[in-house]
Amino acid sequence: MLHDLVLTAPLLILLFAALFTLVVDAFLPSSANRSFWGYFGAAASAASVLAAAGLWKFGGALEMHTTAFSHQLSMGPYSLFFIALTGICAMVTHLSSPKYMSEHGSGWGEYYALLHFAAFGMGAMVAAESLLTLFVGLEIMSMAIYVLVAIKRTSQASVEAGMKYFIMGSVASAFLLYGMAFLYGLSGSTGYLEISLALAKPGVNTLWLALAVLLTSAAFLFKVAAVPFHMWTPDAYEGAPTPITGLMSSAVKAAGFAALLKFLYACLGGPAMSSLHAQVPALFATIAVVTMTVGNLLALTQKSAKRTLAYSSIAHAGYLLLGCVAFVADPNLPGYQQPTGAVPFYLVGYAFASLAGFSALTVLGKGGEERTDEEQIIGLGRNYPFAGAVLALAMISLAGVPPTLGFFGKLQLARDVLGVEGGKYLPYIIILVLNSVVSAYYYLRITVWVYMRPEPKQTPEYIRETSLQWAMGIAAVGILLVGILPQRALQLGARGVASIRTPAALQSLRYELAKPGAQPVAQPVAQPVAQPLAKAAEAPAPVEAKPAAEN
Amino acid sequence: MQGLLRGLVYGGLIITVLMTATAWGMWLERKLAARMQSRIGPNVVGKFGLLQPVADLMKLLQKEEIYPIGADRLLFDLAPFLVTTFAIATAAVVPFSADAVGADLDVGILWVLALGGLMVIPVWMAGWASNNKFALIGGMRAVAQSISYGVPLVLTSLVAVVFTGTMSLSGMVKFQIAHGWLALWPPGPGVIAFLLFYMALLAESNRIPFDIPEAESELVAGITTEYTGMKFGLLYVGEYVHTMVGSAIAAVIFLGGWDGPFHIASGLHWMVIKTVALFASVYWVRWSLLRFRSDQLMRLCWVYLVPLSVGLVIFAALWRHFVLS
Amino acid sequence: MSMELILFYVLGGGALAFAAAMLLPNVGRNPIHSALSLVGTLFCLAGLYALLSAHLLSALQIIVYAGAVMVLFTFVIMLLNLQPDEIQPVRLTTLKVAAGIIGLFVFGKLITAITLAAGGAQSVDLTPHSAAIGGATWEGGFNGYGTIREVGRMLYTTFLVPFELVSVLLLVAAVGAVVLAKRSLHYIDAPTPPPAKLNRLANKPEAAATHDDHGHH
Repeated sequence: MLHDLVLTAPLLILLFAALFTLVVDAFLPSSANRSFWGYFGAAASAASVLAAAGLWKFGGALEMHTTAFSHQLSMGPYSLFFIALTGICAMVTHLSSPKYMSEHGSGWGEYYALLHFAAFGMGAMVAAESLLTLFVGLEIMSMAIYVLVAIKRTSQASVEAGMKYFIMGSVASAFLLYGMAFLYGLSGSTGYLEISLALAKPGVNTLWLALAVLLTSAAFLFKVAAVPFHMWTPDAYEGAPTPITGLMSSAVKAAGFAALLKFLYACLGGPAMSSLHAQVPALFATIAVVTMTVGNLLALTQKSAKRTLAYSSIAHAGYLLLGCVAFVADPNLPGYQQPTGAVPFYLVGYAFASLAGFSALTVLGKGGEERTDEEQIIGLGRNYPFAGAVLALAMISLAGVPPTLGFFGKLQLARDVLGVEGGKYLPYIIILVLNSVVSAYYYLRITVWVYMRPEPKQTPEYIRETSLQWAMGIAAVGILLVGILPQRALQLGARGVASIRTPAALQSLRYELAKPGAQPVAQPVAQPVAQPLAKAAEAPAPVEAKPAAEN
Repeated sequence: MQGLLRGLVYGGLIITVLMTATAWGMWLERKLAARMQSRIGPNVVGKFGLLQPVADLMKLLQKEEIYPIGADRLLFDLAPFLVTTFAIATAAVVPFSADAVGADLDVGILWVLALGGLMVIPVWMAGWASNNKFALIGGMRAVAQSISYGVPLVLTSLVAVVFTGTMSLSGMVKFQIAHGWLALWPPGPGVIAFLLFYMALLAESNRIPFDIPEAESELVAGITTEYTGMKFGLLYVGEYVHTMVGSAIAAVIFLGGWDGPFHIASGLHWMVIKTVALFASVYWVRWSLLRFRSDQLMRLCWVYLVPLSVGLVIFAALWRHFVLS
Repeated sequence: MSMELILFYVLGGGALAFAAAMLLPNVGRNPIHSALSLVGTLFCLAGLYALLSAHLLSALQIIVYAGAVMVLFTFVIMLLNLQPDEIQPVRLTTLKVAAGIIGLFVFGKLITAITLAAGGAQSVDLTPHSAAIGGATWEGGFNGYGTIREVGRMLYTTFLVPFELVSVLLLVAAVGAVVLAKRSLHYIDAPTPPPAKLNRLANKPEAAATHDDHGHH
């Protein structure tokens, strides 16, 4: 029990921070200034990130298992990686919130508590090792985000955005549950590993499986705003408070992709989906190129920077989805390579860049106004040089101009996908390159607004606040750090991906599961965090041709 | 097929006995009320007015059926029928003695609570379908009250569940035979839980002091305002049956069911005595106390009863963990 | 026919009939009748659960769905107070027709799959699996399946995390509902002018801007 609690400490810190905020805030006088909750929230998120880092570093030395609470949660490198990432995103969001939210009349204590809850939900859904935990974690995150989007109650746009997001999100959740029901019916289990093993047996009905894959994927595609399910994105992003938009485009997207990848890879990947290997990668690749093209083309026509970035987030979802193809590829084909850390790496880059972009846009929210058009941004570079620089840096990074993070990220994605089925997806990668060329136009347009336009007659007022500057600074330093040292981040991501508990990666576990009458759930799996997985990251274990044969 | 036969016979028996008992329960109430108010009560029809329920029934059967203008006929007809059905169906799991139990479900108490929750729907249907403002307000109040008081009802039942370690009603009685009645033991909390349960029960069956849904001084007759004839009769009987079955359940959960005091002469008769005593006490309260106002009612529930019953649940868990095991 | 089979047909047919009644034009035009049909469907489903010897689930189904949720449903519908003649008649649009065709297609596919699974050599034996709750062993037989003891054991051992997470989810939903519905609006820095009523109540227009702010916390 203690072991489980220590292992889930990064999540528990967030949960208790939320409860503490709620309880203490209830006893504060209603006129009190709530800004300090932003600093408290940032500190708590930082503590969670530190706890995750500590587990990563010392988990192996303490001989800890990677899974907690009867294999419902796995706190291996993959989960820790993304918990740290979403924790940093939450920290930046906390720091960029106080002044903006009180200017917009919604700086309540509950706002910060809901931020903690959202981060907690993200952690839970990334760490989930079973469908139930995944679903509940996803719902905790979504529920908190729905409220946060609509929290500017005096703004019609905000309430409308929240309503749209809530209704569409509920439909997506229904899809997810429906797909999960099929998976449960096919396998008789809710655990990823058990499902994967059950689906690997011969005679699984392809139609049911296809329905399950389609329905569950559709729900995730909604969460990450991929094309057939992207309609909510521009309105929700534009209506939401700008710090929350930053959180949605960074942490929510990262958590959504992390959970999707883990679900695809651990639950459906490898032998489990053998009957669908011809179709699923192609499906994902097609959705990916459509998503990036639609996102970029629509972004070209936007006037508001916030809305442009919303469409850009759709486009980035497309790039990332192309990276997912490597996770659903058929491992039995010759020349198969295990996916590397490209997608996690790209997510880190995108998260920092969009956090920097949106926190820089937050300064425009002075006096409850919420416009991010050309007139507001012009002159930002001279009147508020720091914010202007951060915005420009974010745009350059998002555009993928060569020395920055976005460029390395796309390069890695392309390398990953090229390995699938002997370069079958080369045309898709060409489309990706073309898309990033197109996208450069609107990113650079915003940069031009910042620096290269004549100053307006009257200087617009900005939110100038220490914590907001900290937020921008952290995001910018993140971009620079990962841009300078991409290899390190890539390695961490690769180690994370290698630690996902797939049947292939867990051959040591096999004998326990194969024994008749064994209880896979009841026995803890002896699997120290660091050593075997570190080895696995360096030299990926060869994949068995038919791992399920002994079942 | 044997099961079906047994079910039919037992079901028929329960319905007959309950309806008869309820009919004379009403007589009992009127006699008690008269006694408390220094009146005589029914004394014309039969010896001591004992045939009064029969006469009432005859009268109700002869009345004209009236549908108010704009009433929703389907729901208007359905509601009285459902009220009585749900009230009687609750009795299916009540163990009247060691052998006389319709269905000894292992989640018997949940069945009781579930049907209690379902009762809200026909009551509200009656209120809405009548197309009458008094009926509608009565229905709304009834729903609000039942939902609110459902919380302490569930929590105090949970106290009993935690103490006895079972959700089967006959299992609870067996535990009490072995360990002592829950209302008396453990001393203190047991009786508080019993009283809370009893209060919640009064509220669930809309009895004074919790009868704002049909407060005659402000709402004419609440949901029954527009009903006539036998449909009125069914609504009326439904409430009495609800109270009667509720008394039986309180007797089972907290007063040892068919167990006699000090295990003397245990059997069906003890169950009958306890049930009738509780039933009569409901009317004793009804004719002695005043009515709460709506907001006082909610305040009493959420501010006092709910926290108290949560505390009782915690106490029960601790007692179970440290004393019983 | 055994008792179970008769009950199954009665309850299953009842569930379908109520579900159909919910959507049929005559009943479905009245939101109240639709909602009550939904209660009927859920009640029949509870009966089916009881037939599968999941008594606990059956009772909880009634308590949660038929009781609490449906009461809320009916309240919402009632407070909306939709009159039958206010409801627009159903019109067929291209989108609806397309949705119907796709729905029928999926339904047909499902039926095919069920038939295949029931009769074909490629069938997957679903029965033992559906009896297992999430990876627990069903080889040991059905001891205590569906009983409250077994469900409780499952909830507090294997499924402790989802179970506890659900309580967090409920807390988030409650906090969210209170934030969105109950907090009084702050007009201090908001661009929207306060409602005209407040202007009349207060002496000065500036004072009106903060009028609603400090009273209701």
